[in-house]
Amino acid sequence: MTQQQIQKLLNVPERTLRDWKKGNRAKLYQLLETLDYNQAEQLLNMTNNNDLKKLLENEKHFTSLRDFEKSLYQTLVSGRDSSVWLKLAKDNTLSKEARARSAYIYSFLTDRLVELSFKTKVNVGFYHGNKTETGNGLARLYGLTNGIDMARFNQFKMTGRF
Amino acid sequence: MIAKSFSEAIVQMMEEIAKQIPDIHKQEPVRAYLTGGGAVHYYCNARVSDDVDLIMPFVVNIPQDLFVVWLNSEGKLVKLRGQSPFINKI
Repeated sequence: MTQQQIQKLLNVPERTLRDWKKGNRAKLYQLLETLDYNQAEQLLNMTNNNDLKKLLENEKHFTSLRDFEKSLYQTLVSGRDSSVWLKLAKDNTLSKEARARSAYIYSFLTDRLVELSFKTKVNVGFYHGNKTETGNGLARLYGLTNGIDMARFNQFKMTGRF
Repeated sequence: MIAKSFSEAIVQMMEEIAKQIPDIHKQEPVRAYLTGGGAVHYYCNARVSDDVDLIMPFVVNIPQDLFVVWLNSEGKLVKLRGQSPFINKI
């Protein structure tokens, strides 16, 4: 990363970065320099689960089903600990739709049931733009009208694309 | 409510199938004959199948991915699938 990129990503003043470069944090600066900006951003998002929250609150962050599926499938096969979805299903800062989606993913990955603190049916698709009601009993359990498209997910797992 | 047994899951599956029948066609009770592993379960109380085989006197449009989930004694969710491709008429 360039100095400008580090500044943007970490929100650290330029002067502080210069101090790091020349002072006793030179090795940290070198490490930051060797990182790729996009990868570093991705890693940062992983620590605060922002990447998962984006998927769950997909109304606000995705306008195309294809982009959403690509991000979702990559996340699902990344080997991330499944318990994070359980944590997000109980996160009161998220919308009910997002929590229902998170509970669905947790059950989908672990076959374990999540008890949500609300009873109202969210009645939205797993992806906000997908209005098709399917026979997916697991999605219905959490009030969603549809779930993960298994044919496309399997294709992604086998080939890395769809 | 989530089904807590295989039998409850079969009933839920029937309810889901019933939803697929348009109200205008519900002029008399629609009979459904349970066969296969589901039927065996009612006799010996053992789970021998993951799907429900039904014979119905009418053609019912069932979603291809239709399944219901039930919670087994180990607290795990189990899927029960419908057999949609076969249309059996009496």
